[in-house]
Amino acid sequence: MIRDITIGQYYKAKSVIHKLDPRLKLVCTLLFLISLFLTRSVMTYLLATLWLIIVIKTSKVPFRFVIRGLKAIVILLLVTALLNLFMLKGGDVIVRIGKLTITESGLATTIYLAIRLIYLIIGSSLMTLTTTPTALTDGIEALLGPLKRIHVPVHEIAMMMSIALRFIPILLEETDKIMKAQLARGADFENGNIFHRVKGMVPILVPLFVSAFRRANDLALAMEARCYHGGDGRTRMKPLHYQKRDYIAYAVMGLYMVLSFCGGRWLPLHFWVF
Amino acid sequence: MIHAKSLIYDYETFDSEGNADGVVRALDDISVDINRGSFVAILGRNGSGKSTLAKQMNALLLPTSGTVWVDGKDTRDESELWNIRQSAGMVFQNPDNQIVGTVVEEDVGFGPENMGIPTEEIWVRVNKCLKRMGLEPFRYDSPNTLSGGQKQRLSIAGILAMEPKCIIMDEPTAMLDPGGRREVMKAIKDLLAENLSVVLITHYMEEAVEADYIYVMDQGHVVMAGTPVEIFSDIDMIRRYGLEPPQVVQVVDLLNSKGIKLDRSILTTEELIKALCQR
Amino acid sequence: MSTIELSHVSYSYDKDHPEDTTIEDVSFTVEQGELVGLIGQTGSGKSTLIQHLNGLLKATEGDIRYGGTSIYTPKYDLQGLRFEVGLVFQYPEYQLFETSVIADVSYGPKNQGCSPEEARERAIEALGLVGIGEDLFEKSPFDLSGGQKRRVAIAGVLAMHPHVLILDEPAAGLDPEGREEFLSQIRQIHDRTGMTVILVSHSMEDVARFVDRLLVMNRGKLLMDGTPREIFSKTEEMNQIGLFVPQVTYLVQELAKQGMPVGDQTVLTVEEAAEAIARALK
Repeated sequence: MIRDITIGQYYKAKSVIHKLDPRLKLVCTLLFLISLFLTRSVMTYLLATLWLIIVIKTSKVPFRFVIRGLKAIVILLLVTALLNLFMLKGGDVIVRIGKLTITESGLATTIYLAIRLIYLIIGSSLMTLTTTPTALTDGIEALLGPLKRIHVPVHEIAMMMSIALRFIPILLEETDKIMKAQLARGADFENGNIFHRVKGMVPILVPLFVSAFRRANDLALAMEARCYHGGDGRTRMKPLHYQKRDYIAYAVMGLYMVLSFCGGRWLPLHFWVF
Repeated sequence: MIHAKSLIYDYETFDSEGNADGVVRALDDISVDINRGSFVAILGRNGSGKSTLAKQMNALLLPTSGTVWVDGKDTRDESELWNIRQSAGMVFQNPDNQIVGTVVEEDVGFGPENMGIPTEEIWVRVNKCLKRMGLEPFRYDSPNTLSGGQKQRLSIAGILAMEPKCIIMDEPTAMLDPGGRREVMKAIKDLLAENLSVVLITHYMEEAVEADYIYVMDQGHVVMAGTPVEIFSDIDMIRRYGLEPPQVVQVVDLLNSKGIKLDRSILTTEELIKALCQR
Repeated sequence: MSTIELSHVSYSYDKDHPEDTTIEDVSFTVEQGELVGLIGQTGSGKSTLIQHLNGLLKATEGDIRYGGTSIYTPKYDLQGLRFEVGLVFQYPEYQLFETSVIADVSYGPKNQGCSPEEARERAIEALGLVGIGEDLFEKSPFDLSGGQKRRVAIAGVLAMHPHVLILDEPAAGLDPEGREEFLSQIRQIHDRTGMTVILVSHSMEDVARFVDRLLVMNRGKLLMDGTPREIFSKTEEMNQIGLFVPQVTYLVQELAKQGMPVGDQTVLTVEEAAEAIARALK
């Protein structure tokens, strides 16, 4: 239920991947995602699989944590896959069930799509699992730094993200508590028509908002008391400095991109005719 | 360390349309002195103005009239604002709503970061403060996994890292269980041992008994001031202000009324046992 | 009769969340009209346990019977059970949501199927029980003081006319005066209505004076079940699980150790302590 949401889940471990600079991890994750969409070659996917296996192994994150994020999109995945499978037409018909047909093109696209989506989730989960939320927001702040020149409040955005990450679990727990409290007063969230159910949410949402505002107010006060006054003149406990290992990692990533792209282009081991 | 003189604080109230419809005097002619290294408790009913007074002590609120000096600086002097907040740190009631960092050690570093302390120095301070509050084993954990008492110790560590001279605590034990309360009281004693001043707002009289000096507030006024012995010797008076004296004090009072003469300065179990055994 | 019987109740969350508290093999019976205290450290399973009593959580093992019928029989009316076994959570003021005090208190009775008039009547009666005056009925609950909000929230449960009232730390955060007033009000409601009351508390001083029977939880297990006098006589055991007996209890026990003839009875209140000491000194 509510407790299964794993946004910003960090897995504590000592590995090279954990130690890498968050900026690097953000850039690499982005590049990896791009690589998945560049070609439709079996080579690319074999390489991506190999890449993920290596990264997971070195990160020391147990496999079941890595795939936890997939739980949330299983339904989305199934629906899109089924739609693609039956709706897309092209090539020979492989299977015919009544009026529904599955074509070669449909099957291939479905497989590509599923793999892309799964790898996309695994890739980004790996980043959040190996990077503390603070490091992540620091990384985003640094990468977006140039935007400060056009007056984008980069520091504030990063601070907001980091606070949101800290309070999401607290507010989820609170939602759970409020729900139970209203259930104890005979609330019924499960039966009735849509209108009824939406109305039934009011006793949860009002207290939740009130509580969120109260917490925000408290937190603002506490931050002020701890001398917080925006990003100006602020120093860093964990400033971002690229280490040797980060440069090596960039090089490895570059190599991967080249291989992935070239492999996809010149060794087109495609499914069927594509 | 902190001095308030003839402090008055008014705030406006608003009707449902958001128009100002009245002024409430939250603090009325308050004068208090918190000396360096001393432990001062502030008691009083809910709504008596204790928290408002606490917020005056590090310039989160500013006087309507009168003056508050923190470490010799007038809180209305804007150029000193950050120095004031640095030298008078504040710990609040709800442990969850004052922790900013998503990792324990990073939260301790939050204050120093804001103050612009160089990175190496931040690390030195963070390591020291984590150790002082016994949080070393949890330094890489998420604050959400800590117990209530640990969370409050983390809040204290976060303030300590700013190297304040005084820590003001607004009901830090109100949401804790007995074990957590003992943890926080122990932490307070450690702070005092290092010559920090502590201002503790609390509803627990057993905690106030340990203070050097007590202010009792009611309806925005300081209505009683004195050492714990002076305050608790007048049971009727403190009951009038909605406070319940520690059980030991009540026992002494009852025994006195039964004709067993006991010193009114007895405040703790140990003292009472000693006095009774010497008879 | 609305007796609550727990037999060998165990509960564990799914394996992915081992940090959550579990309860293990808990059995006890609470008879109609009892006033029971439930104590234990944070994380000892108190909160998890009370959520079983009105079916918010379902035991993974064991059985709970309410009025003789297992609440786990197929098609058992759990919503109905929640009207019978009223549960007031910690800091209940945070669950207020309506635009007026009276509307908020009527929420429970309305869910029960009461007509608007009846719900209103019940709300007025419940607000009377907790001492909220008529002048506050039409106010927004968010404009009240902390203590008043707490009372309104409890009235919200009382208005459902439960046979059992479970309160989780009802006096937390109140000032000493408010605390005292509040607890005696609960005692009054108990005495007047004959309701079963289960009071979860961190304050040993409070439970020592207010309840007839104590349940002590530790690490998910029911460690002790007895009168406050029986339980607070076991100072050592209580200290070990991070619960400290009331100051006066400890005082008299220490005096006895020093050889003062204070008698064998465990002392629970200031008055009892003063009497025991006076007797010993005579």
